[in-house]
Amino acid sequence: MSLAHQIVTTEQHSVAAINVNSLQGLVDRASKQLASAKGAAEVLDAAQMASVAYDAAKKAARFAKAKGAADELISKAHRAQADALEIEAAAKRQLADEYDAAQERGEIRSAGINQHAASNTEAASIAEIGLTHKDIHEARIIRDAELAEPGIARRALDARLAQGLEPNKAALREAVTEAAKQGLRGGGQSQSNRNPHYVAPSRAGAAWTHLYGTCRAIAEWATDENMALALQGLVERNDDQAANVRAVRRAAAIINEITEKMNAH
Amino acid sequence: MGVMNAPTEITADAVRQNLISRARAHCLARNTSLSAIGKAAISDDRFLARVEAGGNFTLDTYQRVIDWLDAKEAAASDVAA
Repeated sequence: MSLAHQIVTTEQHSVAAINVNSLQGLVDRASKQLASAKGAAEVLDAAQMASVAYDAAKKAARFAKAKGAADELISKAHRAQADALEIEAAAKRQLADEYDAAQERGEIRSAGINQHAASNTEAASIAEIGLTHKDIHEARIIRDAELAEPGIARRALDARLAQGLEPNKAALREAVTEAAKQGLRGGGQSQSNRNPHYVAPSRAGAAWTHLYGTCRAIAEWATDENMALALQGLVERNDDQAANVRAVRRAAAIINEITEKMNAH
Repeated sequence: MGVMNAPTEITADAVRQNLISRARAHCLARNTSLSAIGKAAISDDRFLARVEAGGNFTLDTYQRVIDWLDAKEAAASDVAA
């Protein structure tokens, strides 16, 4: 056996080993850790373990793909990736609940409260637990999304798997952010500032609107004073006004023609 | 060679277990997380999760985390005394 063949064979075995043994073990471990977690700190550790499992699955899937491994092997790694992400999402959801409850109990300092106040010296800050404000923000988005659309995280991941795509964090984030926004709006489809009753006009409708709009503008403008001023302005101009005069006459002829056709209708 | 003089086997698993048990003890005592320790000691919040999952690490990283834990425990015992 050549050295190159030996290396390829060893790598293929290692991909298989990662998928079958290690990945599922890591996912199960994260799942168990989350199930037994008590308090924000332990939930955070479960989320980190799920994140480690996700990274391992992602690496395994990409390695398998690069080495031209069987589709079954790649999809196994993708499924492990999706499972790890689902656990991480569940952990973050729980983290948001734990954090808010701890804040209400006074175990974690609230934003805006004087950190030197005597009543609050025992309370931990989020940094002491190992969290950042960004972590809490993301966790709350996932919780709000799950409240608005229960099971949204799993459905989003399953949809990616069904399409043969990698179930990654970006896709999950996109799905939960949209669901959380809809939850804040009180449900319904994505909305904009547009008038919901607006219907775009047809070409004919737009032409008629243009015609009567222009005529209305002229009629509203054409007071005795304005017409006298316009005629005076024509006299005052020293440059050639022949083309402009022709344009006004042409407009008058067009209005006459249209009026006759309207009368014939 | 007598039993007293038998060399102690230091395995990778033993080192890993020692690191995790020290870190977990600190978590329990201070109501914090492995993530917070990793972030404070070596600026890597997933380090201890990776170690727990069987990941490898260097002796230098191990020592930095242990030193950080030692310093925290020493500070806590000074406050208590």
